[in-house]
This record gives sequence, structure tokens and C-alpha cells, in this order.
Amino acid sequence: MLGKRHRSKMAAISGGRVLSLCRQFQSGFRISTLPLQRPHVFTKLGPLSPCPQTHVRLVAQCRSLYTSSCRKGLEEFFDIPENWGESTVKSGAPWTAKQLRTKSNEDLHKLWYVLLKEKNMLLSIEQEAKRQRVPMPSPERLRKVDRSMIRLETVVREREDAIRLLQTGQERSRPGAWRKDLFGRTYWYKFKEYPIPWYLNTRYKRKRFFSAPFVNDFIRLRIEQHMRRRRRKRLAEAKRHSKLMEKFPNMVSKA
Amino acid sequence: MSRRVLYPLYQFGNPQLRIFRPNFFLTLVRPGKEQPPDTVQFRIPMEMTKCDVKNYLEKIYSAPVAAVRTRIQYCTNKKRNHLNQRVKRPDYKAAYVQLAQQQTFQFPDIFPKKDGEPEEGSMEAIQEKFMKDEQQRQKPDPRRGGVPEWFGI
Amino acid sequence: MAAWIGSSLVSTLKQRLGFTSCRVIHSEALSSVKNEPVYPAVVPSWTAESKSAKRRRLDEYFNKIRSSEVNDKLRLLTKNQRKKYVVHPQTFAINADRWYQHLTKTAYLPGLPEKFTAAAAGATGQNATTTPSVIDDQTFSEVRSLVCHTILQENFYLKKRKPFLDRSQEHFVAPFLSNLVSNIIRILAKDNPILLESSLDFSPDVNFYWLRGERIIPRGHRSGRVEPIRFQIDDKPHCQIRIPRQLPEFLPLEANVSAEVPVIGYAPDLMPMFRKQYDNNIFIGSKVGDSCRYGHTQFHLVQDRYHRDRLIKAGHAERIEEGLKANAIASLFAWTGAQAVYQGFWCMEDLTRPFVSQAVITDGRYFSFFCYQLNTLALTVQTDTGNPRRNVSWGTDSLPLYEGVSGDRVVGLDDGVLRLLLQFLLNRPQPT
Repeated sequence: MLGKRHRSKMAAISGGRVLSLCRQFQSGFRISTLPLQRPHVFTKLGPLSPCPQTHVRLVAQCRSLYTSSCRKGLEEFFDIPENWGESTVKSGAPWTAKQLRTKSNEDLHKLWYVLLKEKNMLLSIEQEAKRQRVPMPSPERLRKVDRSMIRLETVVREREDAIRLLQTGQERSRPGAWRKDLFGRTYWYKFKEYPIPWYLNTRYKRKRFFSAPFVNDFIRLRIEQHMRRRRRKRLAEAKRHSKLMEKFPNMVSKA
Repeated sequence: MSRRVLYPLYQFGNPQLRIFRPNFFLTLVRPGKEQPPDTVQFRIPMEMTKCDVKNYLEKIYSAPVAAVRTRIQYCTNKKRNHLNQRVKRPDYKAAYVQLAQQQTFQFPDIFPKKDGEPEEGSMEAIQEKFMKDEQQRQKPDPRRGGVPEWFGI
Repeated sequence: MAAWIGSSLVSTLKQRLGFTSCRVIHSEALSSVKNEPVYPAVVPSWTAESKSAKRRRLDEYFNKIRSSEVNDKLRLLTKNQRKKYVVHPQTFAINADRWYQHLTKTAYLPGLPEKFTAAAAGATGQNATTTPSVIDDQTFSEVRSLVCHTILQENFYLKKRKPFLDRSQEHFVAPFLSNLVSNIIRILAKDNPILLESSLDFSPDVNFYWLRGERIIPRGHRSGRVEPIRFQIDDKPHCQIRIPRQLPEFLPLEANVSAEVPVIGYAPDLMPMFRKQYDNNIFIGSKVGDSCRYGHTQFHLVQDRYHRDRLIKAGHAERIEEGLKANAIASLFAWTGAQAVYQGFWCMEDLTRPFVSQAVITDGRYFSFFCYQLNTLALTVQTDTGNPRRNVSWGTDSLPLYEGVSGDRVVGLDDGVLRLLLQFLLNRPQPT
């Protein structure tokens, strides 16, 4: 375990990441003054942060500083030097949506950038590994980060949807309408922003939201197909139910 | 800003557009041709512009950027798979970023050869020992002097 | 041939027929013949694919150029067109001044030569050969009032419409500069008689074409072969003064300069600089036959795109000075190089005397002064290997001439800058 950096995704903000957060969002914060001076950042992470002992250890294991000027920025595109040349790097589990829902908006915002930088680092390592024709150490980290980001996005979207529904009653953020296309199929047309009104927009006018009369036959056939499928589904479900009732007469179905 | 967002139209007097949680991921690559020491090479998403790259690096990585130049690399559509269908290698945009304040960047060697013995008790040591034992077991009997096994007796 | 046949015939006749006194047919030919036969010179082939043939072709080419007149020299040097790097004096590129110093083999010394600094410090009573510029107060006050008047003319007296976006330089500063230069020359003509014989050009073309360094052609039908790298500068200064005699040199031709020429091992493509193929031009602003064939001072206008305040706000203040330096080095190298070629020097025939020119780069308020001495044109790989000479350039940072214009008064006019400008214009060649 020693000599390998343990990135705990449970407290996805490990020491190094906290440092980068702080540096980013509180200007003038120097990394050399270790984050022990800012305990409130740790306590905010609530029940998921490990005990202070591990924190200290994580902090001690985090990236050492380079005194030459630029590199402290672009170094974050690579892993810490202790992990260069290792064949595996330990990493924790990805964030679940349940965990993310407990976090505040500011924390989610900061977490997004942490994950973004982590993903940049992993992509750089992956590309360099391909270049050097060497297997990338622990490629599952990329997938974990991707999943975390997707879940974060879902959580934020849920919150935004909730606020919008409460404030305006709109279900969707982007306005649209149900329209029929050239083939008579009904679909949700999403509106796009134009600087000119629709009657001056020649490209928009070439889109036809109506169908010619000869298409009606095909619409009818499509309706018939759809009804046939529904009927088939209903009947198949009923058949399955009756078969089960034969075998288990006292079964209680979900209705 | 983001690859998934449809950017709203801008008219004079509009406030500065801000997009939360940008969807752009940069890959720092080793340059194929020798570059001057202040130049760093990236692969960036197609939707990103030079201004985007500059702001991204300055705000998120706090790396001072003097100039950015971009180009789009077209990748081949000529390769064919086992079904003789043409397979396209995705195009990408490359950015050459020159750092300000006379700073330099040298692409490090991320995969140095490590000859060290793995420590006792760790997984790697056990695996190494197991592999060595297996190989030893597979070796033919040295007393046969290199003669193959299927030779009688 | 005839002499040879004649002599051999005579000798055979004498042998066979035993005639001692033979009446010879070609008497004049025989009398001119010495006893040794004359063979044509043994030279390497012209068309063979050998190094000696290539050397012979090159030598004959160089001799042809050496032996021709200046106009023919220009034509022969610029005849062949191939892809060349186009050097723009005014670039946005980072570290452009180091690149241009490398391409033109120029060493840069900050500050101006002693001539100007000593005079600026107010030392008087120097010998006329080094500092001709003792500005008397009357001329100075005349020039001062002229400068104020010209500034106000553009900014206050004349009613002008608002300039288009990024066109304020040509709207305000270009007429100011033209007025200023022409009027100052008129005033200083009594102090500096060379200005009476000078020629003031507005928006002249200055072009120069040279070879520096070598590269191996990466692909194409000529791949693998070594090729010199070609450069071309096409410059259009705002105005320039040309004089019939050369300005005195700042340093001797072979002097050792403390500054070094930066060496950059990368191709100019990384700067970025782009290659194009078109007419190779070498031009100083007038054709070869013109009497004013040496340069005195060039005035350059900083374009609108280089927003000084924006660069300072972004924290890139040093890029301003780099840009100005690069501009000065490139423009002055082109001008002095073209002047030298007009006198018959080129990379094989290196300079025997230095060529000196000056430049003032301004954006209306900030003035920077540059001096350039061309010591060598031998920049190709063959001629540069043993060449210790370097071109030298001096320059100042940008100094504000005035702080601003409030109403009908010019605020904060800097006398030092004005004196420097006058000294530049009072610089005169040695009286012959």
C-alpha cells in the first residue's frame, strides 16, 4: 500500500484534489500552506470523509511541489511521479447518484472540476501509453470517472428540473412542440434560436411539418401496426398470467 | 464551454455567456515533431476554439498562456475491417499552446523502466514467485541434456 | 589547330624530302606558333553528376555574378523562384525578436550608441566628427511648437468623424507623422545640409531577399537533398529619408560586440512563419540609378491591431517591446541589406564598409528609436562558417512623447524624447 497512491473516491476529494480546488476557487492560496489550515472544507464533506488520520496520510502522500514556475499548472495533466512506471494504480469506487444527492450545489460544482482534471490526466496517460506501446495502468479509472460525471450530471439535471417545475411549471428546459413530419409521424420538435422570424427563414421553410394526402394510407397502416402490437402484447401477457395461475392457483398478481 | 449545449445567439449588449460544468476534455500529447521549449501540444474537442483553450488553461490549470494555434487533423477512412467495411478513425483538433512569462515545458517520461524487486508480502511478489515456479516446472529435465521428451525411455 | 598541322607538315616534309629550306604555306601561322602545343584548359565536366561538376557550375555562376553590373547582379540573384519564408516585420508571434535576430545574424544592444547618449546627457563641446548635433535653443523651441501644433492639428483643430473600428492609426497618427517629419526636415535643413539633398519617400516599398541556413527536403522529387532556406521581407514603412552619402559607422567593421546572436535550432515554421513562392525583390525605395542610394531614417507606424493597453492589462507588457524590436531589426536589416546589394555586395562578395541606418517606430504617443549597422551579408552556410562579423542593432524602449491632449493644449510634452528625435535627424555623413 505504501508508495502507491490511494485515491479514495469515497472521499473523492483526496488531499491533492482539495489542494487544486482551493487553489482554483480561492485565489492566492499557496499549496505549500497545507490544507490543514482549512478544516472547514473537510467537514463539509460530512459522513463520507475518512477519519482525520487518513486525511493526514493522504495529504502527506499528495503531490510534492515543484518550484519551477509553469509546471505546477501543467503537471496536473500527469499522475504524481511516484506512480510513473507502476503497472496498477489503486483507486476507489465511483460516486453513486445517492451519494451525490446529499451534496450541495457548490460541492457538486467543485467536484465536477476535480473529475474533469482527473479525466484529462487519464486521457493524457492513455494517449502516451498508446504512443509508447505500453499498457495503460488501471484503465478502469477512466470508466469510473465517466460514470461519476454522468451521475453528477443526472443529479444536477434533476434539481434543475425540480426548480423549473416549481417555479414555472415547464417540464422541459428547451421549448418545443409536437409536430408531424413528412411521413406523418408525430414527434417532439425542439425549437432552435434564430435571429430572424420564421417567415423570412428560407431553410426553415423547406422543412415540412405536414404530409401529402397519399401518405394517409401509410399513416393508417402504421396505426394498424401499432394496434396490432398492443393487442399482441396484451394477449401474450394474459396468456402468461393464465399459465402461471394454472401452476400456482393461489398466486397474488400485481394487477 | 460545453459540447452538449446549444450555444444561444449573441446580440450586442447581451451579458457574458456562462456555462456551468464544461464538457471539454483536453489531452496533453507528446509532440510528433520537435517543438520549441515553450510550446505544449494538446488534442482538444472539435467544438473548442483558441479563446476557449486559453481561458480553460488559465482558469482551471492556472497556466499562463501567451498564444494558441489550432488545426484539424483528418484521420483516414481507408482502413477496412474484417467485413471489408470502411472504418473511419475519428478526426481531432490539435492545439499548440505557447506559454507566457518565458516558461518552458518538457514532456516527461511517464513510463520509466522500474527494475526494483517487489516488496515481500505484496501481491506482485507472490505472483512473481508463482510464475517463476511454473516456468521451473515446465522446463524439461536438465539431465536429459537438451534431448526432447518424446525420444524413447 | 592550323598552326599545329602546319608545323607537323613542315617537320614531316623536312624529314621525308630532306628539304632544309622549305617554303612554308602558312608563314604567319608558323611564326606565331611556339614549340609547345596549346591544349584547352582541363576543367571538370559541366553536366556530370559529380561533386566537381557541381562545384564548377557553382563557381562559374558566382563568377558570372561577380563580373556583372549591379542591375544584372540583382536580376541574377533574384531570378530563380522557389518557396521562401515570408518575414513580416510586424508580427504577433512570441519571441519574434529572437527569431529575427537569428535569421539576420544580428546582435542587439539595449540603449543607443554613445553618440546619442552622450549628446542626450547634455555634454557640449565635442568634436564635430562624432557628435554633429548641438541643438541650439531657438531651433529647439521652434521644433517644440511645431510638434505641439501638429499634434493638436490632428486631435483638436481638425474636425474628424469617428474612425472605423481599428482604423484610428491611419485616421489620426499617419497624417500627424507625415506633417511632423516633413516640417522637422524643413526646420533642420539649415543645421544639417545633407537633408537638403535627401529624398523623403512616403509609403515606399522596401524588399529584401536572402538565404540563411540549410535544410534537407523532406518529401517530393527532390527529397533528401540539401537546400538553402530562403527568406523575403516586404516592408512598407510610413516614410523614409534617403541620402546620397553613407552615415558614419557606429562601430568598426570587425569590432567585437558584447551581445550574442541567439541561435535557434528549430525551423522557422514553428514561429509560425509561412512559405510562399512569388517574385524575389530587392528594393530600397528607389531604383539603382537614383542618387540618394543610402538610407538615413525610416519611420514606422505601429498598426492598430497591437493594442498596447490590452497587452498590459493581460499582463504581457514585455511583448510590446519584443514586437517593436522585431519590427526594427527586420525592417532595418532589409533596408541596409538592399542598400548593400545596390552597391554590388552580396553573400559571396561581403561588405568592405558597414552600412548604417536608423528607424523610429511610433504609435502616435510612444516613440522608440533604433539604429542598425550592417557588417556582413554572408549568411549562407558556406560563407558563414568562418565569418566572425555580426550585424549590430541598438534600440530603446518605447518612450511617451506626450501624456495627452486636453482641449487645445498638449500635456506633458517630453523634451528628452524630442531631443533624441532631433539628434536622429541631425545625424549626418562625414563631409567629404
